[in-house]
Amino acid sequence: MSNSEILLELRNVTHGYSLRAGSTLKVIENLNIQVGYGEFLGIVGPSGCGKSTILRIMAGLIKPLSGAVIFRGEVLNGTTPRISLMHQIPTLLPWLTVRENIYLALTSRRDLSEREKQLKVSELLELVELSGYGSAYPYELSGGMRQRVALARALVTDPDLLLLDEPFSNLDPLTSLSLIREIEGMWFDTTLPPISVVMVSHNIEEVVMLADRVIVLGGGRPAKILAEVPIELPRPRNKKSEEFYRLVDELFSLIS
Amino acid sequence: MLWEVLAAVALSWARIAAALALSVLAAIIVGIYSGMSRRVDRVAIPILDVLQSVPILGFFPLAVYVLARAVPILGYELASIFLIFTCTFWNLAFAVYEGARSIPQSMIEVAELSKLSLRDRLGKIYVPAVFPKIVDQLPASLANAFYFLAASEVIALGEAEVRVAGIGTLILRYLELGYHAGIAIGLLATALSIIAVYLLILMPLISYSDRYRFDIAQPPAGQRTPMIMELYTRIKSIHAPLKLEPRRIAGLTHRVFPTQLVNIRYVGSDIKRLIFIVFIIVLLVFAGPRIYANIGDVWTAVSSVAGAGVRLGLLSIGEALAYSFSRVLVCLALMLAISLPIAYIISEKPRVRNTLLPVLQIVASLPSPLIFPIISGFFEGGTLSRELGAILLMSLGSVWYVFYSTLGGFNKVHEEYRELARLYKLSGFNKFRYIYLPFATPSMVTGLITATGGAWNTVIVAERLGEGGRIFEIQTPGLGKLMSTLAEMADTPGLVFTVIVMTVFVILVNRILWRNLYDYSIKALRIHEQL
Ligand SMILES: Nc1ncnc2c1ncn2[C@@H]1O[C@H](COP(=O)(O)OP(=O)(O)O)[C@@H](O)[C@H]1O
Ligand SMILES: [Mg+2]
Repeated sequence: MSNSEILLELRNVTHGYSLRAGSTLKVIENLNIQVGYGEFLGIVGPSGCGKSTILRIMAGLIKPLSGAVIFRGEVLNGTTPRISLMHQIPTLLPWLTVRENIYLALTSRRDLSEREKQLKVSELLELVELSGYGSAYPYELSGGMRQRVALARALVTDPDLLLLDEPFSNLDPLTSLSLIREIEGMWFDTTLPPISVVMVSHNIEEVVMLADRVIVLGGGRPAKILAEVPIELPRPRNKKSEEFYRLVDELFSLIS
Repeated sequence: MLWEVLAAVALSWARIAAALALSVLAAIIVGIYSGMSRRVDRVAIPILDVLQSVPILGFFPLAVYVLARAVPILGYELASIFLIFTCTFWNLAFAVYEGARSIPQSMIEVAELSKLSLRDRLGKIYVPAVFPKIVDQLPASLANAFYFLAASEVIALGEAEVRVAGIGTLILRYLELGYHAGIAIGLLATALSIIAVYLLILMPLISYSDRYRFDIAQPPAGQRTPMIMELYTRIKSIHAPLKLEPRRIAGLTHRVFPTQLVNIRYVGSDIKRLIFIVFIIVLLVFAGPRIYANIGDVWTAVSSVAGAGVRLGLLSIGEALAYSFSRVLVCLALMLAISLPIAYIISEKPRVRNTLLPVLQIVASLPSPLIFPIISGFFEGGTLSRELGAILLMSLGSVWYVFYSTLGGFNKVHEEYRELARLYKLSGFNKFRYIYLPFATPSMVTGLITATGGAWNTVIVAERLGEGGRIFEIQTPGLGKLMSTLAEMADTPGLVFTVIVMTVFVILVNRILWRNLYDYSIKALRIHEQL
């Protein structure tokens, strides 16, 4: 990838957490990841290998111990509305309605008028097919619907980069399939944000369904990049197809 | 003089230690017994709940007449220890009860299947399980003991006043003598001894108790379910490691104050509660023959108490109650206004937390009544200034309940929600309004409930404070003022009547106002399983 094609880049990023005893647990070391313009990047790896940590670093939520995050050619310092993150655990606020939850992402925006903000919220509600649920509270929704609200909240800021942390891990297989279709639809629709997506998962099938390229993490601590595999299957992808099987198999053998 | 102070501090500590030991023992017996059996539970917990709302002054007659009169020589010491006990016991009992109730059912079934004897069941399951809960409550109990130290060292009812030797009474004497250097040294010695006990005993104990906690949110892998049996063998070799890391000091503070009280179930319906109120009254009357040994029989006692009500005038008692209640409410508002911003800042800024929390912790365990004279001197001006002084006095002891439970609530905000605020660049105010405040509301309300009890208890001292022949009192009516005047006049029937009025009122307010507020906040915030 040439520089102009890169939206976000991790350069020699090392991060770890301090343990009780005062030592540091290195989770990732000298990691280099590039996210291209218009790319849907998948990252797979076993639980605890540092996937959420990587996404937090990309979002500017945590500053890595060393290395840099380059976003649109500049060093990223802290969070920006240009990058959205959808957390692994659902983070809707139970005391706010669906509408208010989505609106929360726009609360601090000064460049939009109140009317524009409300309009945007309505647009997003429609996109995730929850138009009728604006005044419902999260506890009244099913798990899949909540996840769609969280997706709407992540998209309402018109981000260039959307970071998805295991978006399907709390859903049953059927619901997650419909959410996959939803994300696929959003991805196909070029009038919609985002420019690029990074999705993290421990489930290989989900990633193969959506990603243009998959990075396989693993190999103990600190985690290393075991492989980078382009997925060139036509979309919408079919889980039952032979190539799909083959790719999933190949990635599986890389991890285990 | 220095020796005098040191000896007095040592004596007070000895009494407090005895009361604490007694409290722990009683808490284990009552708490575990109620936690083990539904039937006991249904009786014991409401009784505890009612008794804990009885102000320390309410226990005076019992202490004086039963203990001090019945036991020669040591009687006054015992009475003093008993009064300290009434300040340290309740939170321990509730914590033990909660600990016993939260033992996983599976564990109890294992015990049943392996036919453990009662002794083993206690020793291997219940006691280790409640151990951390007890340790968590010790600082709160200690703080409370010191808070009422002076009150518990002066066994007084009317002219018959006996002061047992201790730092509380020593400082009182210095006050009467106007001996300022002595007061300063006494306060300093007390403060230092508290800090020493805190650092050398409580903190290691708390850090030691960590290994007995099996409800920590995310224990390191491999340590998930250390079997209680194994834990038991370790508890027997209790040698608290004297490791004092500043980071740990900060970390443990949020569990030092009784945030566990959050979930005390108000067992039983209103009717049951009323039955218990009646029961308590009957109990007081039952103790009557002893209390009124000179009056003679039960009926005279009852009628003299009832007569006291008529004599004092129900209307004027009602008026005093209304004044005191308003004071309590203002006091709560004040505590919230102080606690919310400080707790918010502390939970947001790790650096502030690490320096400020240990300091607050120590300040919280200092016996604030010792600075009562300073406050009363400062606020002596007009009516309003006296009101302010009284409210400040009431707040001093209980503000910590509000503060620590609010802080505990803020600390419950998951990292992901904090990140949400950063992702969307929420302003401090919006973050507070949308995320922190709703999260903390239930524990904050619990803190307010506890603090209300504390404020009511302090009302007696705060509304009328006599020291060194000088009287600091509010110029408007007040139930506390009335009670301490009655105590000074040795009007036992009047005192009993007002104590009953206050207790019933506190319970009703708890039941009607706080309990509903708590439920309402849970409902309004729609906090369900998902948090
Ligand atoms: N705040 C933290 N403090 C200490 N250790 C952490 C923290 N966050 C994550 N870790 C540890 O870092 C490792 C990687 O975590 P994470 O990035 O969440 O992995 P994944 O998302 O792949 O499951 C795990 O072993 C986890 O225990
Ligand atoms: Mg993760």
